[in-house]
Amino acid sequence: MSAESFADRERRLDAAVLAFLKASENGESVNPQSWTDRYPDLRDELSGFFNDQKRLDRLAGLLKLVADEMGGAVNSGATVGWVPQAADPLTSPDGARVLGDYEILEEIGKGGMGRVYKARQRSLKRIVALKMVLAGAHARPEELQRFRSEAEAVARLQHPNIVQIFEVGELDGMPFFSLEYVDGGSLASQLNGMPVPARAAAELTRTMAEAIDFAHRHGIIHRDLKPANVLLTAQLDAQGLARKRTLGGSSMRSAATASLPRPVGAVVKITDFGLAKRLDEESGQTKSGTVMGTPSYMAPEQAAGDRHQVSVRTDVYGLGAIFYELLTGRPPFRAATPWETVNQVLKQEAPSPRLLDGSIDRDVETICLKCLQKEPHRRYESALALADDLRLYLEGKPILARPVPGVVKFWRMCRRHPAVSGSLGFALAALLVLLTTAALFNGRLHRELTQNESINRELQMSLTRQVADRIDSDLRQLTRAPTLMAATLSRRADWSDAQLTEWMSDVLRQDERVFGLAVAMEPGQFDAGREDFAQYVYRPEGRVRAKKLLLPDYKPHYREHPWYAAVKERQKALWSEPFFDQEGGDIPMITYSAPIMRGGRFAGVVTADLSLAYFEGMRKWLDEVRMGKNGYAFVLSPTGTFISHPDPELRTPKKIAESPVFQRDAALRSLTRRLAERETGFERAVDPSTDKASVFYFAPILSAEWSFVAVSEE
Amino acid sequence: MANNTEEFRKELGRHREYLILLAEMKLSPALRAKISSSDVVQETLLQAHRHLEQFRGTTEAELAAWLRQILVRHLIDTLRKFRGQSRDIGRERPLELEAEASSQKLDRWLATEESSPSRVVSHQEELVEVASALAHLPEDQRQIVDLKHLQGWSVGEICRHVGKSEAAVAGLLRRGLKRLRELLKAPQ
Repeated sequence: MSAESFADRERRLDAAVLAFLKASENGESVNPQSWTDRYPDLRDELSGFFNDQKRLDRLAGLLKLVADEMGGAVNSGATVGWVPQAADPLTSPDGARVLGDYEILEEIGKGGMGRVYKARQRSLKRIVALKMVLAGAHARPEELQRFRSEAEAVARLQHPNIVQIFEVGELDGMPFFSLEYVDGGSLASQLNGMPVPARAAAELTRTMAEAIDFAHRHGIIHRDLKPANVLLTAQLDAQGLARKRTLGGSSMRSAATASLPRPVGAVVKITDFGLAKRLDEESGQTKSGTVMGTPSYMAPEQAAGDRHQVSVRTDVYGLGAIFYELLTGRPPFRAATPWETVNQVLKQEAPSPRLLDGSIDRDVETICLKCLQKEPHRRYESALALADDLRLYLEGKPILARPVPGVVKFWRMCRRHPAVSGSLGFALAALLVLLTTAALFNGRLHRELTQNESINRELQMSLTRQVADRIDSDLRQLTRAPTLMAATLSRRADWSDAQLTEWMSDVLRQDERVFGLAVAMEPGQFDAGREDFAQYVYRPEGRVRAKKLLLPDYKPHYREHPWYAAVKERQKALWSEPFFDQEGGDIPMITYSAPIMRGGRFAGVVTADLSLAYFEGMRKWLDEVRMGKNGYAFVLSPTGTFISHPDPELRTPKKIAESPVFQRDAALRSLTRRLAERETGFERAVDPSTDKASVFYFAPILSAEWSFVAVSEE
Repeated sequence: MANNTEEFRKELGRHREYLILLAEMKLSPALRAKISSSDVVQETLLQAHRHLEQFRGTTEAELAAWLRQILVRHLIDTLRKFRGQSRDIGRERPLELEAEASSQKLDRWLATEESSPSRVVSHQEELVEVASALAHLPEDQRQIVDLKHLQGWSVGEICRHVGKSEAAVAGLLRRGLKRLRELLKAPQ
């Protein structure tokens, strides 16, 4: 090839590239493949160019994403190690942390656009919360505008259950405002995964609904209602939330519902009207279509980014979401990623509260689910209407809300079997709830639904997730005892042998699902003189006994056992793999171990043997779960060991990945892989247990990293 | 991460071009002319070096995250000083620092699945490499690649900015991308 023709070729290449660039900039949909076909002799160079472009665009997109998130990382305070500070905006040259009339005491929070400090207002000698937008330099005009509107909106509201704003100002170009200081922390930090009794939940929600109604009547929608934005005054803390369960035992329930701090109205205060918007103001302050708020508590119209749909009923949804968490200890929607959570908010029904806790009153569930309706017009028309219905419930009168259709059918079924609600125990009731669901599904409904395959899939998936959530909720309850014990032992070191043994025996008696409990410690941690300490309390044939797990009887040394060594190494609570007790035959046992940490250092573990009663029960009801045609269900551990399976052959500790029948074709291998990734979804495959074309639906059980799988024939 | 100081210093140096690129993406064109990203990054690396005992991470991604945080602090600091010198810069709306509340990031999650943080993490090494390869391109090629692919300018806008013909810009872009590929293949 001569030099000249090389130059010509280069020119033709540049022309081809230019034509492509212009076409794509003009919005024509250009397919690189068809483009290269237009220039057959330049194909190699052009496709090289397109590949280069594609790769760089992908990397540029990632870079842009990283750059976009950089600002956020500063505010969120999510750090990997201490970040050397540029000048602190609040430290004056002489080092005193004073801002005008306010003396900064400590930082109590960081938000999306500012920080919150506890401060003393010197002229009035009072403690306030001082909220400020950091450094005018990095606040954009929109942020400043949003900040001021927050201040103005809240300042107009004076209500005992809304955090009062005292002063709005600006200093050194930094806007700030001072708020009533509320001492008891937020509902989010107080709840921390624990439900409160239904009556207390209803009282709290009614108080919040009345406060929100007050805001609505002043033209303000909160738009970001969630437990983190509900503060509690110290009184509630002092009296203590009447907890439904203290150590996971069902026996605690009745006593706990009785006492309820009154008046509850004095204790909750709603804050952070940061996204508040006046009803009478058509400002375009929030970019249209921008999604805001926390996905778990977000109303579907917000999750969809539909600004014009946001109304007082958006706040009714938010109140319902808080109510739901008060009742069940978890938000209505919660997934591994925010994206999945948003997806659930848009497409799925929240698991029925009564499925999570069978003791919840039907009226309470009806009120709660009416707030959480996807379509705003199906919710209460106002926060006041919600407050009124809650009042009717609390006064023992019939409520106005009617159960939503699916739930009606469901409970009507249950009523036809009155034994369920009355004499039977909680676990059995829950089992029957599941079976009823399954039976419903199996019968007429199933025939109707199979006519529409996609609806069928959605419903099967929804049921699968509900069962997985149910197991998750049970497991979290089960781990309360060892977790609380570890927390107490982390704080207090002054135990005698007798005290500790008595306490452990009490815990064991309260929760029949715990077969044994061990407390084992590092050298010198139980008392200074003792090198080894491993106390075990267990229940052979129903009688509680205690012994020490020490050499020579207990071999090898307790610190070499996985239940101790693995927790010490990872310094976090762990579930063991299922194993089979030597005496127990084919009933799986499993242990849960929580670390005792003192002064940031590992000091020992609390281990619970969970067995017999609970796992046999779980396995039995899992064996009974029939979803769809000839359905059954099973559960896998994080490493893919069958924790339950109706086939006794698989029930012995076998791993799905090592089971040849589950590796025999591509679909089953794909299923195994997706289960190992703890995905949510379904997979069609020929079931190795039945040799029938089947669908495997699966969902993770989050707290234990297990997977729940429901199988039905096609 | 490296225990040994010398190795750590080298590791920091590898991130120079990556940080410069990010700093530039944070600055508006008007400010980019006035503030030297490479000075800000130099300061950032010096400070990271002085405080390296504070870094508790162990992975490439954690190191990059730590450096980004220090960089942002320095950018804010620099911009504040700059603002002190010229009071009316506020009117230029110079600050492209997107201090977004995490809730607002949702629309990006919605917009693209690329945005899963884990995917960024798994591409961290590649980002650092591509940034330093970009810095090794001949200046005329680098400028065009940067404007087209990182700033998202159109060919027409680029032509007016650099005063070259459309065909010349297309040629520089094509050769720049090709050279970039070769640089990324070659061991550094």
